[in-house]
Amino acid sequence: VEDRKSLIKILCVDDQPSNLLALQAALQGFDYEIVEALSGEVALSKVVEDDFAVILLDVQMPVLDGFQTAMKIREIKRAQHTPIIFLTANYPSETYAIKGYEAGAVDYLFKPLNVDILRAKVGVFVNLFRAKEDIREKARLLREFEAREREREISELRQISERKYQDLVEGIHDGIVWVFNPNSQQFSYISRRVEEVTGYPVERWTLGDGFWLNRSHPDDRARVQDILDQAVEADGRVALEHRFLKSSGDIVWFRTEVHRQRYAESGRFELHGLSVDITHLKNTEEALRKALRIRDEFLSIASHELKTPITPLQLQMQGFLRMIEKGRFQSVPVETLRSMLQISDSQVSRLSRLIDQLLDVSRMREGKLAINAEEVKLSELVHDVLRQVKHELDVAECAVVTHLDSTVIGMWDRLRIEQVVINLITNATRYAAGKPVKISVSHDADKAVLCVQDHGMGIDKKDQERIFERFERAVSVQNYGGLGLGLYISRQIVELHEGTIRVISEPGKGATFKVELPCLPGQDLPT
Amino acid sequence: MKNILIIEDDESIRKMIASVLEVEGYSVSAAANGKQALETLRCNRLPDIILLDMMMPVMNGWDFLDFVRGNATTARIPIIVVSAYSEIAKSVHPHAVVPKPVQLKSLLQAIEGLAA
Repeated sequence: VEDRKSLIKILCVDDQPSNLLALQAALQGFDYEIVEALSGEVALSKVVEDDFAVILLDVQMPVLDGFQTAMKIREIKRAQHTPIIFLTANYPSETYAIKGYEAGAVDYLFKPLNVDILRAKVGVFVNLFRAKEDIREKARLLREFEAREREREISELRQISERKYQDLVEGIHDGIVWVFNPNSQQFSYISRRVEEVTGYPVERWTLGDGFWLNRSHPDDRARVQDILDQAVEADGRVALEHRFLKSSGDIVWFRTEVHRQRYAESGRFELHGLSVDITHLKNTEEALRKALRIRDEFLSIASHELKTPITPLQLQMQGFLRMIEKGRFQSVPVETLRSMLQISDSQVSRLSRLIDQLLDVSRMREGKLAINAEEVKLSELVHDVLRQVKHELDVAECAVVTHLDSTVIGMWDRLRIEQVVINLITNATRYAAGKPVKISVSHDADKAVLCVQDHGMGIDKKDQERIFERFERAVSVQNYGGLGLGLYISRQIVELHEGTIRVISEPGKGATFKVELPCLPGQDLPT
Repeated sequence: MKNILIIEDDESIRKMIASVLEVEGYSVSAAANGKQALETLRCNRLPDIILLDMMMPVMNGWDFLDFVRGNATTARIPIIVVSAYSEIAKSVHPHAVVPKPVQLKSLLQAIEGLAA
């Protein structure tokens, strides 16, 4: 403010240098800077350049007189409200005074000038000017202060929101947030979470050497590049499911959503993305799809297996009906009739076995399969089974070799263990027809051991666990009958007896199914 | 007496078809797969009609047809395909098709149509 005071300017306009000198002298000793002008034109040029507290303007001047000068001054924007005091030698008439006021005068001073009145009037206008300047300055300071304050608040808010954003982004458990520059093909930001999910540090990701594409699953690389290109063009969000190779060598599945972010000020744009780890989801989906596929396959096998016995049954009945209708029943040899009935009888048993298997599976799934344990001699059980499956063995031309230790006795469910042995022998007739089957019963420490060995095509290592699953088999369905439930049911039965069942096999070298069951201590029985 | 060769891997179906056809007065021979059937063709009198199942182990119906049709002496024997899958049956262009499960009436009609 002190500075400003010294700068207060007063414009004195008079064509007589002596008059200017007189004004100068009268206003000496105050903090005014007196600017002199010897004509109206000069005065106008000064007014354009500077702000004045007051203009002292002589009325009688050549070319532009005081009134004309005043009117022109009023046309200059910064001087529109600058007070003008006319200096005149004539005591004004009323019309003369009005003319002056119309031209913009605020006051008159009469020559010869009274120094005290001049000083007093100039002083009033200077004070007014100062007060106005003061207010203007204070307003400016206030505005500056407010602006600074607002900037500070904005920057504080920005920091808070950035921190919040950061916390939020880093806190997303399965998601990785990133910013990608499509021109440099480089990540400018990627959230820390990427380290845990992929095993590669953030610094590796932001290097910008095509790391993302290089480590993408080969089948997905083109699609990843595609989606980045698409995102640059698209207005909305684009999404992709893709695989990435982790540092551990495993695969992580991502669902990535990308959208373009354009900065209005610079026209520059980036891609903002969120990649969510959906590996778990994908695996579940895969397992579900596999389960559905296996179920569908099973349904198709089951319907085929259940339908097959229907053909001979129906043919027999239709055949008998036709014989009656044609009146030939009496002439058909008894042997033919007996053979037809025997086939039908075996087909009914076949159907009922299939249905029993299906019922067993649903009972097992519900944990409702009960074991009725009784003392069983394993060698006798095997002999019984061999009698039951004699026909199948004959048809398959499988010779049977047995090594049965008659001292092996246990507390087992006779019918269920029979079922296991039937399943194993039936499998041998199916998969190793024409070749001998070896069956042995022995002790191994406190366990009973039953082995059924065939000389068929053998089972690949990768299939050896799978074949004990529900609805599974190692070979294609086409050439082998059955529901594919036998080994699953067998394992369930053996495990209910707290035993184990496994296969020892190599492709081309046959298979040995080995069942181990807890048994009663060995006794020396008469053989 | 017309001779019919039945090629079918399911023993019960094979035997039952043989029985009903014998009652109808046909002479019947049977094979469990294509390979056995080729043996039968080689060693015995040629049949008048062949009843053929397509999906069999050892030698399936397609391979059997390739042999039979590639051989001048057997190429003209009429073939009836017996199958649960009508698409499969039609695709090999047999003389007649009998769908599974087999109905006696349609089986006899197909045979009589070709035996005439």
